[in-house]
Amino acid sequence: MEETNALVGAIQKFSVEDGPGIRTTVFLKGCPLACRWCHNPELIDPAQQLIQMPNSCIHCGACIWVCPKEAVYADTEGRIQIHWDRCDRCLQCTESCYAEALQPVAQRMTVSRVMEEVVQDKGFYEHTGGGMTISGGELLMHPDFVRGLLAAAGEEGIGVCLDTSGQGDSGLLAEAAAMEHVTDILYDIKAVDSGLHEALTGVGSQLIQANLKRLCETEAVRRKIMVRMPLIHGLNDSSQAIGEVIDIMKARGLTRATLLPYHDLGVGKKTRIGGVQEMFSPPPAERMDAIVQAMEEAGIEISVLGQRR
Amino acid sequence: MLNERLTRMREKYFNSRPCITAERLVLATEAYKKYAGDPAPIFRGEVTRYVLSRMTTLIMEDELIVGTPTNKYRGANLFPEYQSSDWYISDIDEFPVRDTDPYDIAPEDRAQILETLNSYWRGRAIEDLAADMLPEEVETARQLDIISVGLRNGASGETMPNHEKFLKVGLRGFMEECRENIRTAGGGSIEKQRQINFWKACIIVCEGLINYAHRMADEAERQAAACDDPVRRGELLTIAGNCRVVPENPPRNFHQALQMIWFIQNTFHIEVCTTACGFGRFDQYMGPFYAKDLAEGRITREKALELLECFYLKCCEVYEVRDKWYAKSFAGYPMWEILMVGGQTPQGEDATNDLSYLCLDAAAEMQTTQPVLAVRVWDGTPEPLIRKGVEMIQAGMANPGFFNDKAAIPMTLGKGCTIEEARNWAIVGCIQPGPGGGATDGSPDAGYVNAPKVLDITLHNGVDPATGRQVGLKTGKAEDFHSIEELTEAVKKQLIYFYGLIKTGYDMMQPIHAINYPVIFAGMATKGCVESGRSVQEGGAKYSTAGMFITGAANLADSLVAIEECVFRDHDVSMTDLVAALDKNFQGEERLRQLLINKPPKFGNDNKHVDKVYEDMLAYIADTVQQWPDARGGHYSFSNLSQTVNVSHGEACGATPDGRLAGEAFCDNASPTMGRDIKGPTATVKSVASMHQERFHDGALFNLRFDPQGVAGEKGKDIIEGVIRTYFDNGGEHIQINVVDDETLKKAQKTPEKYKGLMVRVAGYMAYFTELDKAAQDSIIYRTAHLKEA
Repeated sequence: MEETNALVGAIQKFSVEDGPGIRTTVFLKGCPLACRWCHNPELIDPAQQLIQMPNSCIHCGACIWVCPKEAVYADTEGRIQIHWDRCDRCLQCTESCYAEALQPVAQRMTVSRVMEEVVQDKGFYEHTGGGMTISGGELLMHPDFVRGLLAAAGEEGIGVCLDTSGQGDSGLLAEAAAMEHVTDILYDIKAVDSGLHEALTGVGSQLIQANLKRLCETEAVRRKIMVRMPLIHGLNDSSQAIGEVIDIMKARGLTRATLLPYHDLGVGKKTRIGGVQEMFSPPPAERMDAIVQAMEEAGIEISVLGQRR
Repeated sequence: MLNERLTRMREKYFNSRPCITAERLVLATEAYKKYAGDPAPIFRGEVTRYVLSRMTTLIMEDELIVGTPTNKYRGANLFPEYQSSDWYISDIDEFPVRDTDPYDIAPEDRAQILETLNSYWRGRAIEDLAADMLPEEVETARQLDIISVGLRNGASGETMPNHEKFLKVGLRGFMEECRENIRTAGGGSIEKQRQINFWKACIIVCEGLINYAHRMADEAERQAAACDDPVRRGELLTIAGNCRVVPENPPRNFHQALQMIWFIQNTFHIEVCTTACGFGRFDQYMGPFYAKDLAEGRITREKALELLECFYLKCCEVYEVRDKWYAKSFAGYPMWEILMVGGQTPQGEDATNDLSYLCLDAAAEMQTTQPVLAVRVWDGTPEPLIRKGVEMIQAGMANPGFFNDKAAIPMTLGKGCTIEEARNWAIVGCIQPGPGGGATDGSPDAGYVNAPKVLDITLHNGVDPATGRQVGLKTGKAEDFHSIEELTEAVKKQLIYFYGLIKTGYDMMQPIHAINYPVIFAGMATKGCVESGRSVQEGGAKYSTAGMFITGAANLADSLVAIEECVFRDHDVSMTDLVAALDKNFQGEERLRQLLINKPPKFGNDNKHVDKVYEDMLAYIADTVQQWPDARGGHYSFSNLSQTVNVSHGEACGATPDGRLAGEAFCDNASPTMGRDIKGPTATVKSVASMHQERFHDGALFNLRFDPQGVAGEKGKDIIEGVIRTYFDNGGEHIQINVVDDETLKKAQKTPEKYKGLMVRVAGYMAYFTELDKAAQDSIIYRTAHLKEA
């Protein structure tokens, strides 16, 4: 039988912002949400895709000749462009591109192949309380693969952090969250109100909230949870939206949150996979301060990514 | 917080430039004429005594530790005994304006220097003799930058004085021992007379140094008499009192002990162009003085810190004037004055004491490039000591470096010492562990082999493609290699041939030093010399080693793997076409270059195959050259370090199969090639640790750079410490970490005046970033900064 495999966007060693200590983050491809600001837009589509890295291009033109669909061309300034509507993702161009300016977004990998890399940094995990983080995309879209990773990590004695949107298989989530070697859960809350959530991400918040509620029913699991909240000015940083997050955190007994002010890295990446992403802005400084203050007053321990408090 | 005195002194230091002065040159030349005809050791001893007895006694404002190697603040001496007057003279107007390591020269000094060199020294330096003496193939390989040959224009200088003994017996003790040896030997054979001459020379130098110290005391008393400020007057009288006790007698307190160590260090720089004179295990031999003064209420922690900081500033005031090549290759005035703390005792107990912490505190406050702090780590090292070092690193001080007992002790044992001596190991040079207690003369570097250029030569059947000259062995044409194994064998043969040329050259230079210009004081300071009656150049030290180094080790391994995959395995390119592409520096072959860069794995990514290729190649070199004896009965040691010779050797090397363009700098020391370690610092650390460093008797030098944002806060400390500890668990000997971002470095490049104090780790040393030339600066900027936003 073929070993379980999945499309892996990246295995990022020395991740220090996705859970405690030094970690290796495994990014899985495919997500049920389509957040308007997504910073990993290339990991939304569950299928393989082509991504451009124009800065690496040496303008040799090999990709143009090799493309059977004539989807690759040079514009009037000599830059390589893609007719995305013609591209059928055969990826022959990526094989011809020695400069790696055209690449597949992900690699199909087995659990053991992923674990080979994860295990390499075991020493660092042991010295810093780190481990593996499973992220994405959305890990809940890959039940077999995630179960495989969790089992393998358990055997290796490697702690796991789950980085999830909460949108997906409730049983899988509960099962994974309860495992002893799953030490941390980064649980995204983009908005509580379902209408707002749908406007921002394409799906309502019912399942996410229901899953969160279920997890929080177990004390041991609840203590693993760190809420993560991206903050996009004008979309989800209003007093009301923040107030709702505070209320739900109180109701669930959650006390820790990481705020992720918007950054625009997704915009460029989206262009490079043949799409367009709107540009947003992070909350202005005074708004940011007010949000932090409101949450801290509610007894929530706050960290802001990139600027620890 | 620096106190007012140190703030002033530090300010003065940062607002001044080093200078070359004539005084020692003029005095020494008078002495060389006066004593010509005496047997070499005595002759040399007399010259040093003559200088010490007449040189200016300079005591500057605010100083508490005194003694300078020249008559001016931040002055440097010239040593035409070793270095050719030809370049001293031709470069004299270039010294003040050259890109790397400039020196001012006052008009009156300039005139005296030219007059003295022209009238006496031309053609007399060891460097001048070397040109006629070294075999043509050695000189050719050196001129083409395939190898360098140590001792050609340097002198014995990688020493670690036996400070314990100085502190215990004073110079009087040494003199008494020498007199006793002379009495016992009695003479009657050539060998005995040689020994007697050496002992006499030691006594002569001691007398000179005592004379100097007493004249310093006179000067301090003279200044005290003229001083209106009662506080300063008291300080000057203390200085005078100290100089009357040490170095003649053992010191009675911490202040005197510091003064003693400084007199020793200073004398090294008056006798000879010393390159790297380290302090060894400073906290071990100084700790008892500090503890006793504290216990008896003679000193406070604050006062001791101030004295230590004054001592550190003195360490910044010594120089070795280097020619253009060495100034570029050792950029930033490095003197490798390594000051070690922590580690274990010879009996295997933890050795950390209060002074270990104080030494780090002083370094954190001063933030000067000398001395270079080194923290020895073993299982019993207290967590707070490591943490303190980590905090300094996190704050961007680039100091201290960390050393691993688990790797260094086996390396030291490889040099043939006892387990007690190995546990007491200390650095001789920049990262090379030697049996401790001042028992080792590491001697200067024997030489560096330009490994990627040797590969290029191998691919051209022994011909240097740059000049068309047959410089290497004829190991076969490139297209006749049918497997990577055949090619690797040929490369190994060529490498050993060039290491052999270094040995030939070095072995020819060593006896010239021993016979013409033996070093007396540096010999006396090294355990074994007084006992045997021989200078370090004659093999008098208890342990003598000479370092063989490598530049571009990662480029070589990456290139071999690229050929293995792209030529032999996948047939992406034929050997003929590859060599043709290299010869034209990839002109019109950018696609091929990209393939070579991106397809084959590279060293530094925790890839077992490349790491093994790297390891095997270096193990082969180390195991071979470490079998070779040197001309004084010591042996060669291998070290995976390049200093910044990776820049100068890179300039001399054509394009390489790893996709590197002609002239580009090689990898930094034992680190991966810049920009080729793409899997983050943990993978880099694993690769570098995997090379079985314990087989290199002289260690491996590892630089790592972090972006400050990624290692901020408490978690950042855990991360840095975790990286260090994992590196050590995996067998790494030494790691030094720069925490500085690209932006800061680029700004400092543009507006150097605003970044005068920005320190970086260059190789086994620290330098002010703005004092490096652009090539060396760029090589630090290109050193992959780990933990930047993806």
